[in-house]
Amino acid sequence: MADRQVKYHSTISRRDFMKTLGLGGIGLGMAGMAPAIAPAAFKDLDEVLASPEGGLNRPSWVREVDKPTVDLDWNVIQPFDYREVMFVKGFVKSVGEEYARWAGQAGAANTKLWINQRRPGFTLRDYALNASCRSYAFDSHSFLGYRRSPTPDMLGVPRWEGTAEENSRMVRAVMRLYGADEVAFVELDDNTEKLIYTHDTDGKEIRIEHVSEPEDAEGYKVIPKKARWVIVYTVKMSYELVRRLPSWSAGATVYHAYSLGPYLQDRFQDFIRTLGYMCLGECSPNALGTATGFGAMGGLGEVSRVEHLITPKRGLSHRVFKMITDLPLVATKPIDTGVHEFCKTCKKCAETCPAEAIPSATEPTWDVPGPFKRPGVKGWFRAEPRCYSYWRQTSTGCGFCLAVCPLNRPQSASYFSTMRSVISKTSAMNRTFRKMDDILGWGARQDYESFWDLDLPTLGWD
Amino acid sequence: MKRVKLTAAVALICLVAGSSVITGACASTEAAPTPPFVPPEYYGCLQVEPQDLINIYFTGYGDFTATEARYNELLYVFKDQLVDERMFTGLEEGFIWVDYVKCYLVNPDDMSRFEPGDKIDVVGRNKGPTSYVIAGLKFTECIVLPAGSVALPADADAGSITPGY
Repeated sequence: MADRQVKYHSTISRRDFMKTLGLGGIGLGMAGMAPAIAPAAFKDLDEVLASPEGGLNRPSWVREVDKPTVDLDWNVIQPFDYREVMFVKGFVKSVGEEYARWAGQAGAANTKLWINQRRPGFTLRDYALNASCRSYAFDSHSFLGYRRSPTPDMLGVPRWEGTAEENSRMVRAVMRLYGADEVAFVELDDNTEKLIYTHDTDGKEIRIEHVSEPEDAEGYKVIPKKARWVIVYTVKMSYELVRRLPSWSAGATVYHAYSLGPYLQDRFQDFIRTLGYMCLGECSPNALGTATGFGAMGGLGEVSRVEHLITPKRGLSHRVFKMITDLPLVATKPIDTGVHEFCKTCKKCAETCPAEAIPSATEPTWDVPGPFKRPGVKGWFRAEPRCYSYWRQTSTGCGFCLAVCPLNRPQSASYFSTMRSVISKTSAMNRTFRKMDDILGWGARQDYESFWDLDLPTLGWD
Repeated sequence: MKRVKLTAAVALICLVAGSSVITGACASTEAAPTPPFVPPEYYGCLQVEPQDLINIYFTGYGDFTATEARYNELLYVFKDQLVDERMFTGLEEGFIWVDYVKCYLVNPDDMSRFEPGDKIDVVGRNKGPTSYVIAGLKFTECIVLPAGSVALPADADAGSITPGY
């Protein structure tokens, strides 16, 4: 293996990779202008392994730490039933059937009203864009994979054997080729296993058992105990659209990311199958286990005041997905980039939330607001019934908190990368950065109609 | 050394931020506020003109007890109400006048978004007559909204929408 890497391109540099994309000489500063998806001219898997795409590619100011920046009490954390979340039973349980019914009717009535009024961001074309993405976002996908590619047995060859390090680089490279942004790995142990749901988004019980093969049966699915690694990854959303949330057109970027995650998963499951391993996927977005939990444990980002992950490179403009495999991988560590400390004093999301659903307390709490939340995490917890009421009556997923967040800004701009770098080292400037964000008017744009004149890059990945 | 680094960082930030003011100013745009939050049960309100509701209580020789039992505690919306100076006279006490209805607001600061000449919708809970001496009603838990900004009352035939991420 090593010989072949030397023979081919074991020393491929970032510059070489940019050349491959046809961008050599333009430099890193212009990297943001690269096409979102460009065919990389890899000759073989060794070349993929050696490419920069196989590495974490994090900014230098990202610090790896032993535990996430939110406090966790693993003695209290227990496996959670997805059916209890706000989107499923949680809302009706919290507010009652009458209130929930009105929330749905309000959404339908407002939709009709706003389309007829041609309210900016809520016109028929905004609705059409949203609905076109939404209608594919939550399609069912396979826990086991579609199994269209051959196994090593079918080919009459031994399965792939690589070290955990090689495998990790390979997985990351392949996932990025498919369109993933950040890719991290979490090893399942007695604690992290608790982040897998007791019941999945399709209502099936999830069992972890000492069996050789996974199973997707009537009423339950089985994860073999030997599948010890969770691949947790992000798919980008468009900054330009995120800052126009909560309009219907901007919401399309959320649904679009949700459509792309399973698209990657389908292909990746077959890739792993042909290598001779198993890869268990989400039957729909947000399935299998808690995205924020695995993301924080794997160091994709840090848990913020709005309970989403803030990543070093994309802030809040991403969606998180996960798969489970028995291919040995190297677990990535949690990170500290100063997000938790920044959230303590910023509070911009709490101050501007249209539903007044985000807590403004400086310090996080162990107290969860209801049975729709899993105890054992010291965090800030949204008043989700109120948050979700707003979603329903506006027929959006809102997301105004994403639009206003000072940490959700493009790192291609030197100011923001400098800001994140400083925040990662000291909290002394946090209040100043928050004020700067207000003064300079970055963030949420409510001239929703301007979206239609944007010259967006491919997939909106600015 | 640490201090020098920090000073350098601050200087850099000021420099970059300064140059970004122009960009930021160019990016600022006409604001169209996010849709307002309205408690969902408010969408089940009844639309009525203030005088019509007052008349139910104060005209004829009605049975006050029966009238109160029938109309008190219900949610009503007054649509397209013209904002005038009189409306604001009780604001310090937390209410606005809509005709002869004292509407106590959930958030009195909301009125700062409006000025005489604007039109608003007011939705709140009817608490019945302030007294039976002067014709007037009291509403509580009131929310003021730009006229026509949300579908109050909701059309029961519009169906139901359940978004989810």
